[in-house]
Amino acid sequence: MEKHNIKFYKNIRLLLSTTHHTEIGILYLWLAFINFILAGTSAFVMRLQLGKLPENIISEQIYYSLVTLHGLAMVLFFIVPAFTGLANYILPKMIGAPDLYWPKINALAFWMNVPASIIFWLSILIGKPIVTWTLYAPFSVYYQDIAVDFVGLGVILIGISTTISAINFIMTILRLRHPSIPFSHMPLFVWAFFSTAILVIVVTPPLAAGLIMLEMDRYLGTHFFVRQGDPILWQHIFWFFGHPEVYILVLPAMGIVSEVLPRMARRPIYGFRAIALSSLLIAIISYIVWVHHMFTTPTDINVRIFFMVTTVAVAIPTGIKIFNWVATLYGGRIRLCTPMAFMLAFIAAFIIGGITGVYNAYIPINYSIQDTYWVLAHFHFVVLPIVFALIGGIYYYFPFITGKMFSEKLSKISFILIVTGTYLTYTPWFKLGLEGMPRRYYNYPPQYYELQFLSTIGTFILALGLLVFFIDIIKSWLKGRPAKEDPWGAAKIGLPEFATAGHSVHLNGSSHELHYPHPYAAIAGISTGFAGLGSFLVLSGNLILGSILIAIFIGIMSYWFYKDYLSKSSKLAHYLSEFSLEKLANLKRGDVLVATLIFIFSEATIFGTAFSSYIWLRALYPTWPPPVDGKVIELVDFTVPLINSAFLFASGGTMHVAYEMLKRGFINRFKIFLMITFILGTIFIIGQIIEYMHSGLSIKDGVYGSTFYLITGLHGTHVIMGLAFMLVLLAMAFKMKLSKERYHPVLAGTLYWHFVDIVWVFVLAIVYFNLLQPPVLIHHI
Amino acid sequence: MNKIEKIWAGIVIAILALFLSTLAYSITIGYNPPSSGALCLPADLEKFNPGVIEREPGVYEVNILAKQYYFEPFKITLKNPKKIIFRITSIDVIHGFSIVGTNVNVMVFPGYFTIVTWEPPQNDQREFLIICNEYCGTYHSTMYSKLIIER
Repeated sequence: MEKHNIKFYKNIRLLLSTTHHTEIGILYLWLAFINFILAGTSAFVMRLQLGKLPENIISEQIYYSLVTLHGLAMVLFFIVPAFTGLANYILPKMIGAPDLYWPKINALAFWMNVPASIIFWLSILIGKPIVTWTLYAPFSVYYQDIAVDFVGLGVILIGISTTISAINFIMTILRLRHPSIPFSHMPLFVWAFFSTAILVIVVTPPLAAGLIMLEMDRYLGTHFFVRQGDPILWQHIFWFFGHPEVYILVLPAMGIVSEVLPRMARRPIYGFRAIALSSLLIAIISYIVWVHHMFTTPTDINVRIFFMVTTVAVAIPTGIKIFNWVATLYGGRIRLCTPMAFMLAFIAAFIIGGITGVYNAYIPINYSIQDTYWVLAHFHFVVLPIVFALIGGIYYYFPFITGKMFSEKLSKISFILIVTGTYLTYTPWFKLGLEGMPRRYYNYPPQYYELQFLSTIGTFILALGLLVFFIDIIKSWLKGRPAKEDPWGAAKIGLPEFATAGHSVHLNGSSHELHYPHPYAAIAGISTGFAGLGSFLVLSGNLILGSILIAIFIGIMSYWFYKDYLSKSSKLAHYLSEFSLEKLANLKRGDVLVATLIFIFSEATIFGTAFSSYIWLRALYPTWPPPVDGKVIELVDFTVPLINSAFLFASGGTMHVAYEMLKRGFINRFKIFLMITFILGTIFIIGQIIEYMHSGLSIKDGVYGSTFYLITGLHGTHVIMGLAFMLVLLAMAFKMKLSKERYHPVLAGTLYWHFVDIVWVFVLAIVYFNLLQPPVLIHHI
Repeated sequence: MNKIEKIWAGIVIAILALFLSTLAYSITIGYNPPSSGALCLPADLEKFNPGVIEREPGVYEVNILAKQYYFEPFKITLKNPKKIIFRITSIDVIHGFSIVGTNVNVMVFPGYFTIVTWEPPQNDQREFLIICNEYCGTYHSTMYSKLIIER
């Protein structure tokens, strides 16, 4: 198998047009480490400021901008893409799959990260994004600086990319796994990454939704988090994403540990099933712990107690893993190579980070340490171990990726410096927190100086260790000694890293590296930056320029779609034709169902965010709608929405008929019913616009107006997306690309359209007819 | 299941049972943290006066308004306090209210009253530093006030 080498980088066209998982994985790792260096430098400068080297080396505004960028970049632009990249490389090999399920979408997802990163880092060049990584309202709403919007835009773009990638991985793991590998026996890293992907698709869309609501508050005068809205709602939305996010960070790292540790201990892992299931358990429990970030807010005490219990519970599956890893070590013959050293360092440091998390979970203890350096120490003792696992994993798989071996000496030096630097940097923070030093302090009273200075010294050591790591990787890649075929001897002891060549699904004739004739995916991915910037320009009032940028994006995507699916040379199952699987025919219908349902599920979480926000805000007001400037504006005449509903539900029926017609081979009837569906859906949209114009309610009219337009607007957007998809289906039908056998895109469209109908039922019930009356949770005095 | 696994599981379950029983106990005796919240609508804000009111001898009600970047009143002087009820709200962004060295640590929101009851320690300490520990903007690290106790 050809190893990844420098030739790849000399051919730009090849680099831009690759759709092969190994090459995309490496590209992910490069971009992730560029972001790591930027984020790490931000932290380094912050530490210079706090270590007074010299005093006031930067201003408050720069300092707090770095706080924001360091946090978001490390979490979203470094760790998640780095593990996505590593998973891209190793996961398909581990399950005997030829590539990810959608190789082109995989490329698209990677290339989206490029404009996302650029827009994100541009923020500090065009302004001062001093909102911190948690973007708490009202400050993030009232602070007028477009740097904040650029940060938000970068986050939204990379969030979409991560979600797309997660769906791709879920499809790969479920549907492209070699038949000889049952789900229960797939490698532990695959179990871990599967759990991670599930977390991503549930919680990343709500973050995007929350950010869009934040942007609406900033530019459209809405009332979600400010004015008649509630800042605590922002915290709920953010932490509903934020807490599972940290498990998104740690689960892949634990997966790597579960792979490397047994092989370096030269024995099978102890408690395979327990570790596998514990990944799922962590994922599930992590959804119901988020309020532990809000223990000092005026939230009902019983609510907080519930979350305290769940937070303590989420430590249990992690404990299971640690027990099993230690048991593995106990019965093994440990080879202390550098990758193993990093895994052991992960376990040691993660125990500190994890247990200090459990301390935080107890509300009375939380009162003493919330918003102090103690919390910072806790979570840095969680994320640095994740970096240990990543670096150890990169070292472990280095000989596989490059065919060369890294330098034993340099890697050991980097290990010692990195781990020592970590402990020296972050341990003083526990003491600082207990002595009362608060977080996010640009300057501080003199009694904290010694510990801050010590911590800064640690940072120098950590940075040096990372530098040695980078040098080692580059040098060994260029000039390292060649590695053996089974570099760690794992296959010899019965623990092969990857499903062997005899067990992998075959590629259909084409070359091993999958390359596109043109860099469509790269161009489309980069053009998502235009879509994002265009949307922001439209939002902030620059309609013409914004619309032009959005139009360019739509044009590029349409051209790509046309080349792939409509032009003479394309085939419908273009992507799937590159692989061959047993039982292809019945596999495909199941695939479409699963993929569409996963996509719908992630959309449902966006609606879930909107509906939950509506219910939360309703619960704050004894009378609904609350008056705006003394007047109560309420929708009372439901004639128009009811007529609209009739058209929408009818269109659901005609869509179903269209699908049935196609499955029976009646192409013309299919086209007719599809066109009728399109017309009915368009009437719905026109009806919505009429309702908006005659309602007397504007989006700025208090919390009622804002939430009404948010929910109906979100729904309307999805209707328009469905209508656009119908046009695509019609185009495919007229180009004879659909038939009795090739009906799968229509299946996807039908499911999606029914989803839109179901959401409308909820909109009617909750927003129009007020059928859900929430309890009033918080009172007047 | 292996014997070692069973022993380990047994120890873990015993620890869990201990923790949960302390939780159950505190719920049955109605032990609640002395902090809560209430809505602060614009009408409430108009009636709100920062300052100190002595309800009974030793029981003080202290109304505090937090804003960028100071607490009003800046210096609170209390004589022989046994119980202090803080009612705090903000008029701009989120602030923190933390009495250093104690477990009074709450977030203060515009639109909400944070109400926290504190029994100051009956020792020699006469001066308490109150800081804002929730990021509120550029000069967040300069926001503090003082609580003076006279006995």
